[in-house]
Amino acid sequence: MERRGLLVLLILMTGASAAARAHHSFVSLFDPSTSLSVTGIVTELEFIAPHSYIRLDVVDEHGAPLPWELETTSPGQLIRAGVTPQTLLPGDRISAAGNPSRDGRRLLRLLTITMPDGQEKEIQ
Amino acid sequence: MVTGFVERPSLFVFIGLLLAVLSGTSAAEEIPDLSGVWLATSPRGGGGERPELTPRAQADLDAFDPLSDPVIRCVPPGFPRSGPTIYPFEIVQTDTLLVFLYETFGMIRRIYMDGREPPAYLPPSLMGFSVGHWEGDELVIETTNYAPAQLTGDGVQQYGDMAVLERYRLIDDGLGLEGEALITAPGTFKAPWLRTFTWELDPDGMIYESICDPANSRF
Repeated sequence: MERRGLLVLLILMTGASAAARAHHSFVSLFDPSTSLSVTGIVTELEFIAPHSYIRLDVVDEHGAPLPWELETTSPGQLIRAGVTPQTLLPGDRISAAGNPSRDGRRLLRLLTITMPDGQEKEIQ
Repeated sequence: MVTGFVERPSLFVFIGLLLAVLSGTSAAEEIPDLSGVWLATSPRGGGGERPELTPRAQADLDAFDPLSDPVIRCVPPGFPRSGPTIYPFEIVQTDTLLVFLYETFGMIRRIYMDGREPPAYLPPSLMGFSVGHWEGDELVIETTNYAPAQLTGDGVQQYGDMAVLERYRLIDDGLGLEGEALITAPGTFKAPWLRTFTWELDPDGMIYESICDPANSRF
């Protein structure tokens, strides 16, 4: 069921752009009443304040990579959670759960990340 | 009779001083040490229900455009919109001054403990002007002189009439801190808003730089 939901969402997201950032309150951009999970391969980690970004390719049902973006907290909070450029590298496989963007972009506000070693970390 | 009235208070003062000396303590030594890095443990937003808005504040909230949020331009959110929750802060404590160093946006608050009054003219500001004092083991901070600002992430505004009364006390043998902020803003809320927070001490922790670069705003 979850996979089907993701599939429907992906189909609805036509023309979604990965570049969609500015500092903002999370509530304005993301829908806290909905959660979504994705699994993919990390392509980039942008470790900047006040919000950091993790980009990954999520393979769709046809085997094609779709770029997704995880928006998350500041570098300091990520360091405390054990998520750093030393522990998360391009090529790593991760799962992520969070609130989807209100405007349908392939963008999640990251709440939980399953690291390459299988550790699950909650992100404030 | 007159003589007795004069002497009795003096006797009480003498006994009080004697007890203080005998107990080996002084008032200064009893002041709690709040210094250190504190990690937020409250739920996001803290505790306390937001009061009903005034018609003006409700109308502004209804018309709020998230793209008008000053933080998009990297303007610090100010206190108490941000600071007490999620991100850590560090307290640097002296007898006459407390400095709160918030990780978020690198915000700084100075809490004057020396009894000073605000200058004759002080520009209203995002962090306000804070004076503090100790009530037993409780730190009490009164903050005024706020500039109008967005008060919550979802767009509640305050109109420069805000005052905040905070109280902090150590818990868990000094390893925890709990606090409350009573926000009075008659232009915004029909009643004061009491927010509550908790933190845990991070003895080996540090505050990381978290400066927002407008170049990273890409709307």
